[in-house]
Amino acid sequence: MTEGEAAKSSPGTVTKPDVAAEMALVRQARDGDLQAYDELVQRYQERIYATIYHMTSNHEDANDLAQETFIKAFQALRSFKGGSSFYTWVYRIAVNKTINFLKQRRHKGHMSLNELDFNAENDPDLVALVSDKTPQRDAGLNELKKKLNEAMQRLSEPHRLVVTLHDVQGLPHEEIAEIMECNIGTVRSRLFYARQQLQGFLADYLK
Amino acid sequence: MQQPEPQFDDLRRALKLKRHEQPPPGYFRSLSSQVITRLRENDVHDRARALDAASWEAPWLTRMLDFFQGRPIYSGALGAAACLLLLGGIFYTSAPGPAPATADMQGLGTPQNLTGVGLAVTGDGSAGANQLGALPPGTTLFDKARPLQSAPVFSSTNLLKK
Repeated sequence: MTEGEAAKSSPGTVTKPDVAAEMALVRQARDGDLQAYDELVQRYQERIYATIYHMTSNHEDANDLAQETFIKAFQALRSFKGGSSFYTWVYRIAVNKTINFLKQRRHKGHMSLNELDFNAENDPDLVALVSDKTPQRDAGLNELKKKLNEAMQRLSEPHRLVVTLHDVQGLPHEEIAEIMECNIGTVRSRLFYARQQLQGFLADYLK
Repeated sequence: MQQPEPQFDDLRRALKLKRHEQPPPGYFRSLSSQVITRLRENDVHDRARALDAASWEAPWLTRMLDFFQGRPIYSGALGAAACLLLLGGIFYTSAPGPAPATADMQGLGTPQNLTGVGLAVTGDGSAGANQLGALPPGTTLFDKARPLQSAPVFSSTNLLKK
């Protein structure tokens, strides 16, 4: 899998992991096989990193949290009973770590946005947005991205998470409910509310 | 079935653009190796912490290990001594020893006989390691304790009389 492939995948193309092979790797890793665990990390690192990045909007923080997530997951492997997929379980660890981190960061009053490589010039969605529908045509790519990130940061953590998992990463409602340990109705209502909020924040750029 | 919400189409298209935000090139090649390196370091640190804890709780052990470290002759001698001790123990336990003196003890099984032994000790005053012979004949330890019985007894009734 190439870098960012998972992040680019649309909702319909989220691949279900091979459960048997995954469980074999989990068992090996549980016995202390770091090579097996390395393989598990490589399978999910891009999606885990992307989720954390879209929540924090900071590469360094996302890097630290992604590493800590995988270390914590390895240390807690014995408590993994296989009730959900390993992927969902790791996602849950990442989400909890990120939300805790964001709460601490909010208390410290620190927030920084930094910029990752953005290679979307040829994306048809972007072309449509910038050239056809945006009233301020000179806003351009970077400004839209900046405003989008700022608007995301204004959402509460649960709302930002739902938007990240569904609209950015393309996960279905059922999987998000499993990760967030809530029911599907809650996921839907949070998603609706979060979109309304974002729509309001980005009104000048989207209409 | 998930219903599309047309009022959010533009927003959803804009959010999809975030998928294009990528970390520096080659980042994912190093992430997993960094995780594995940190896990290995944690393992090493855990062992070091266990050694530290052992040296804190049993300093004599670390001193002994330090002493034997770099002294192969002493270590060899200690090992040989331990082996000899073990072999001696095995030899000693497997060799047929003298028959236990159960025949002499058989008569002591009943409580009556045991009380007889007790009386004999206190009676002649010359038996065993208790050295009761040091007491004058006809006296016992209870006789020595008797003066204590005349000590004043404090009770609430005595106090009230005063």
